[in-house]
Amino acid sequence: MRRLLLRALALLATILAAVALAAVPASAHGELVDGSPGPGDDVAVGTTVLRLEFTALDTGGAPLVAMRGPSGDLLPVGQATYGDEGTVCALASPLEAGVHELTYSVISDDGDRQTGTYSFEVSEAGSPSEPGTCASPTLEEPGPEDARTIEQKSSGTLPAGVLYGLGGLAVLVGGLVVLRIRSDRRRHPAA
Amino acid sequence: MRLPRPAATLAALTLVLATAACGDDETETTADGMDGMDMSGMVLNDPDATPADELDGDLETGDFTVLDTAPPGSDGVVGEAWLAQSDDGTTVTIRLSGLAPDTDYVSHLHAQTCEEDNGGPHFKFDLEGSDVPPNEIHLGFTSSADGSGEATITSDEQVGDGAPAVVVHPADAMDNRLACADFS
Repeated sequence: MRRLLLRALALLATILAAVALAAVPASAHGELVDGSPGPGDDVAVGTTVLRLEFTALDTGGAPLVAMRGPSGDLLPVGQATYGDEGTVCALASPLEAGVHELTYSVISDDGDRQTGTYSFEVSEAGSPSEPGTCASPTLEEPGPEDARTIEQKSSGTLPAGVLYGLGGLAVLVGGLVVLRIRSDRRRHPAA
Repeated sequence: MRLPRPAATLAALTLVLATAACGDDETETTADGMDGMDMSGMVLNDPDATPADELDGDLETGDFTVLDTAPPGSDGVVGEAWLAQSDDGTTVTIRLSGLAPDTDYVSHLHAQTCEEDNGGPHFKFDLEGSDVPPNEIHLGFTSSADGSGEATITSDEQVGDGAPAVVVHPADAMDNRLACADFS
């Protein structure tokens, strides 16, 4: 019984180590190359379509976009979608004048989650936005519940690192079961 | 407390697999190659180092110009950068004013001039290598209450002609390239 308990503890320690290691950050390579509004831009009051262009994305991962308005409050931004392979689109409520801060989180083509923040201005004299490929998709209208941070928007979905950790756990448990069965058979061979 | 040898091997293999997954799948990284370590774990400013403009040797300098990607309200930012190279390596010094007060800034040597894509990619000693020091040259500082700030950093290697510009960003908005200076 004691031996079984020690084995269980060893297994638990292994699981915790595997999950912890699976969360260690690594470098990424994706890069924001353009946007409307982009970093430092001055766009017209009433802008609603947000377009972000990246070098390369893994379109299998869900893109996230959040935004703060001039007062620092979170503004509603609908669920972000892909306009094409390198473009992320989202719909915001009509933007009012002032400095805004946009935060995005995407999966680059090398599998790393890429998060960034930039600020831009909205003014009466600002340039019209350039939706580009974001003009064609049907973008989700933002609701009050969409005024959330990137962290809040990403909660509820398991990061891939954790999924790998759980996958490794399944392999480990399965392997231990097989080894236990083989060990028992050696000790108690069938008559 | 011993697992049977095959079980221990299997556990080790599982750990290796889990670790390998970190390098090629979803991990958290900020824009522009910054991964947060710069502000928390790496030396980005050496106050004890002799500033580049006080060193003998091959000295280049340049004035900062505000970029079109700068955060709104950055028009008043001015400054100067110096790049000194000698047998001891490379020293970079930047001094700026007109910044937001009490704000963290980071800076990198870049591989292209300011006119070419706002400095283009970061300068790397080894093009296939890491995107953090010592393979790149990064600087960082917190602006004072009057909006001024400076930093000096050294490297044991010479950058040669590979780093024609230096770019400054707000640390919390890395996609806003604020100001760039060409060395000449």
